[in-house]
Amino acid sequence: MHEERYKRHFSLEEVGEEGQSLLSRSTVLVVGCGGLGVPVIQYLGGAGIGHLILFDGDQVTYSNLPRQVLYGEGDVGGSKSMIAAEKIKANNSGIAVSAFEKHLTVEEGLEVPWKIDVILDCTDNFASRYLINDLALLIDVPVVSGALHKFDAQMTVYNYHGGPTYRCLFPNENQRGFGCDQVGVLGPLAGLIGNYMALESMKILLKTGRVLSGCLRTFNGLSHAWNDFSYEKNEMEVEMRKTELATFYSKKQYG
Amino acid sequence: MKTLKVKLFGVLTEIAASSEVELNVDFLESIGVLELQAELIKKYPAMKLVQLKIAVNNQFVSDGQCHEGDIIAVMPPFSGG
Repeated sequence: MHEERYKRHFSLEEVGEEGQSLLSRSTVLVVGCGGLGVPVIQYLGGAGIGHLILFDGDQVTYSNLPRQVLYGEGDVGGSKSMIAAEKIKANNSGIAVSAFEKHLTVEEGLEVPWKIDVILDCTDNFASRYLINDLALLIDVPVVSGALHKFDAQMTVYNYHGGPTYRCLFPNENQRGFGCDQVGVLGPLAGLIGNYMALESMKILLKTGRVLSGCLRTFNGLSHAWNDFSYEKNEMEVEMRKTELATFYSKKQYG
Repeated sequence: MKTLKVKLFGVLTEIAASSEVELNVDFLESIGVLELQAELIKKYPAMKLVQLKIAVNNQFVSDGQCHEGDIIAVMPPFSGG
């Protein structure tokens, strides 16, 4: 079954059997099992990423169904992370899925007992985005980040091989956010960007292609406009933040 | 007085009711990006509540100058997912 399942991957020079083996030995943390998280989970699970760790404390609602197409009407009221885990396991029995029915915190991220290779930020609020940045900095893992605002989307990869971080791009964490629940979204945009994120994370795992590190890519679904903006690492700020975080969390852990 | 075209993204397009606006500013050779940001907020006060990242010729900058003819973009972070 394994041979048959991944044979389209084996045909690609950039993947092959060696690359597939790399994917099957990879662990990916998906934070948020909503509009972006669903396509990420479906495609990474289907592609045979060895271990998916899912975090989401929300339950499925009817208003989720147009874009979070992994869930059905019968899932309304159930835990997103648990249902997503069950459904993706039904798609691919060869992978492991660990689901947490809660929102991620830095502490919980640090307590995860597996070595994480890539984090996907599929969240819908700024507080989560900044804490994912801090966790990634502490455990030295790259983050594939996607974010939506109505018909606009942003994507970037940060903390990749010591590259710039989310805070280098947007340093001010005290701000009001606009979630899809408040401003609206059309499902295919979330699907498009979630798929893009899945592809980008697979490239990182496969060590192939150009990664969007230090580049914020934007897309507008109404005008078709794609734009790339480069950003640089603020070395001093990153080092200071890393030291502050390491001190703070080591004190919390050891008193 | 010179006219600078500024591209806007996300919630900024709603504040300005357009994805591109023109700013009339007085400068000789160049204008600082922070001064440009202040001009933008003067014209659209609601932008003061949003984190603004300015790009000059597709490179985000926190300081520096922009010149007539530069491609200027102002980007807020998005939070939805």
